[in-house]
Amino acid sequence: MTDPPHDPTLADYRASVRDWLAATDIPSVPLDLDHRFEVLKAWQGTLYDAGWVGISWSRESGGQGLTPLHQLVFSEELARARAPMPIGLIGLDVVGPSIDTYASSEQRARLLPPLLSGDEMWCQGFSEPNAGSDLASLRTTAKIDGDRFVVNGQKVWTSWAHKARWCALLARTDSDAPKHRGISYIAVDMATPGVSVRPLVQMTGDSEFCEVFFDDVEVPRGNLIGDLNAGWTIAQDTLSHERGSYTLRRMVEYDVAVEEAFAEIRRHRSAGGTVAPRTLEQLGRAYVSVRGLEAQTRKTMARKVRGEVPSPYDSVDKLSLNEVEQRVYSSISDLLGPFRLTPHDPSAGLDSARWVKDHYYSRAVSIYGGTSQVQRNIIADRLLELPRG
Amino acid sequence: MGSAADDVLTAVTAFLDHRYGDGIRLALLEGNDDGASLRQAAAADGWFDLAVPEKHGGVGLALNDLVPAFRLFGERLAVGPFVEQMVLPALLLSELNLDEATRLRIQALRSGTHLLAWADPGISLDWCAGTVSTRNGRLNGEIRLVRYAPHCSELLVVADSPAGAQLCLVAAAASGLSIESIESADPGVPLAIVRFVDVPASSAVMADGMDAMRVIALMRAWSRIMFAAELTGMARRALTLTLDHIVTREQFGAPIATFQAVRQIAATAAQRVILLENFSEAVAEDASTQSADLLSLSAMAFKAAAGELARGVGEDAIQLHGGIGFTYEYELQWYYKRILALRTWYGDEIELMAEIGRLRLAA
Ligand SMILES: Cc1cc2nc3c(=O)[nH]c(=O)nc-3n(C[C@H](O)[C@H](O)[C@H](O)COP(=O)(O)OP(=O)(O)OC[C@H]3O[C@@H](n4cnc5c(N)ncnc54)[C@H](O)[C@@H]3O)c2cc1C
Repeated sequence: MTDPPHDPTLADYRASVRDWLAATDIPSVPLDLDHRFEVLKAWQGTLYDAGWVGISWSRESGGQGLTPLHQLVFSEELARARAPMPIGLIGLDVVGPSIDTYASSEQRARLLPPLLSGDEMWCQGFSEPNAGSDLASLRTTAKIDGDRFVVNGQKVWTSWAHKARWCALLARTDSDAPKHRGISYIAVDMATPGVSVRPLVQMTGDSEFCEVFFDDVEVPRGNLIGDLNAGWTIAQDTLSHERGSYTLRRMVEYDVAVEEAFAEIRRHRSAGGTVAPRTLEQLGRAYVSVRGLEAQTRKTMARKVRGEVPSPYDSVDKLSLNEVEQRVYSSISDLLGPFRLTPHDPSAGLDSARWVKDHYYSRAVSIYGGTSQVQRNIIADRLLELPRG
Repeated sequence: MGSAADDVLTAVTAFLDHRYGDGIRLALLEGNDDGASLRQAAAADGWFDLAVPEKHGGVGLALNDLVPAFRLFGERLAVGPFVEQMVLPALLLSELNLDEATRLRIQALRSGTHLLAWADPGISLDWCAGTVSTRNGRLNGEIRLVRYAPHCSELLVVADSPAGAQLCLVAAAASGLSIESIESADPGVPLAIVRFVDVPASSAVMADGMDAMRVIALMRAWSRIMFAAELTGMARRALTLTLDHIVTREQFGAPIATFQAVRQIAATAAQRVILLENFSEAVAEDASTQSADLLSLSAMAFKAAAGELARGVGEDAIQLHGGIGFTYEYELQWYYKRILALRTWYGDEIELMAEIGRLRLAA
């Protein structure tokens, strides 16, 4: 990938990232989820201490005060060096930026430094058993009782809830108001009595997401982010980050994935292995998809630098991301043929276990952060401004 | 996009607003106008000078500054030998050390009265469009698909010789050369089979060996970029027509745009068009700093995406128009036919993806 032209500072920045990565012990990532979490949490601390976390966040909030372009350069170099991303991405890319925008200065001083360093992980308590795409119909309640909220209800699909110290909770604080207007955004300490978490096993075999139950959980009113009953606006902001910034990191991963697939097939072929006729087209397809997403990303960066977020273009980006991720991993994993069934058999020349898992994982991208259908609804409503029925 | 690109786009827009009304467009698309007067007006407006180096009397713009104009050609369905007249001569003049006589012949194309066609077997990867070879100073063979050859005065030929690739410039009137017009299903674009029987090659060779390969690769890359830009513009127009239609057409007592099935298709089409537009900007932006190999690869990737996505947008556009979309009278069909035509030219997505795979695997 190349720097946008005429920005020497980015080239310098890239060089300093490279130098640092070359001089640093890059951890290898264990397969087991619990170990992986511990290793990556420590890695986030290392990155934070070296000034590589919160790159585009303001200095006042504990960041580096640089631009989203610097963040992208860092993500690219991290991926190039085959170094893992920090683990706390829900905090860093999804929830954190909303807290930075909407929380009071005391809240930011308390919450943001450990969010960045990885000392305190965050989860996003939005979806419920009966509120998925129709998020605003959520039923978890937070009743005001003196200087505290009392929270009751259930969340589901909450990623990393079992590892999180904090939950960005959407709860109903006014059940008489129209459904979008009675919701508040509350930071809940997951160690509070009455919070219980039950991990759910995903298709990949990992347990990243969980069910979370709230049973008379008492939360100080001071944990309210923004105004009472104004949580829906903040939730939209959070979702736009999930559709935007998070997308950038993923894009870099696909780029590396495609290069790795080429490298594996190249090695396989030079070792005398057979290469199916469709291989070239499939790999080419993955390559073309990533180039398209990369072009799209440049536009997104320009939009972010101009501060035009959130925007209905976030949904265009998310939809593109969904398609590209699924194309990349389907194209590559299809090259395994029947050897997709044998995780440790090298006959197809590809790392079967890895590509099959990535392919499974790619089926989630068009569901989380709002399904592809929901993104299209948003594009039709807000970008194309089509009349509604 | 640089300001030069903006200036070109503004000028081309004004020209098309003024000169390219529905009447002349239909006449061109239906083959009732051979495009000569439009071509000459474009020449008079300086189009064919834009990317020609200043030392050859041109304006000296970079080819990437022309990309937005090619998108506009697509959007307005402006048909003409624009790649042949605006891109190829500029590349030949800037990349090759030509002898005086050849240089003058290329420069003469700027007037618009002389027309270049390109006989290139490389227009397809999976289908054989023919071959031309040089032996003992003579060109022999045929190329079965040559755009604009029926009207051309000069023919650029990619030939193979025992010493490798050759790039030749042959006058359309040269002895031994025959140009047979054939029916064309690419609206507004005449096609011909070009045959070579002992055509003298000695004075025709512009480049051979590595030098020829290098320039041929550049010409193919830029052709792909410009055709992909046209496809992008056509996809944009198909989307615009569709959005206009679905908010006005009513069924079941409401605009069809209120039905979710319709909205979802429109949103998908919009996402595809936006992605292509961003792709075109990224490729144009990178072109000035990229190595030739990377430029070729980017051009293939952009062309692959454009062929595939523009076709999808065109098909969804027809679907959302219902019966009217299937009529000859309504303009959408012209867009769809030109999308299908340009999709194949210099490789459809399947050919190009396989080629990209081959190149990257060899890397
Ligand atoms: C891996 C993963 C991680 C997740 N992490 C989190 C998390 O950390 N925090 C969190 O809060 N949530 C999380 N989610 C939940 C996610 O946001 C929801 O799954 C998603 O919003 C869809 O809701 P649902 O599952 O209830 O599906 P439903 O809303 O029931 O959708 C089912 C189907 O109906 C379609 N559909 C629904 N409504 C419409 C409509 N109006 N128009 C057209 N089609 C429609 C959908 O597109 C989908 O195809 C995660 C999900 C996954 C898969």
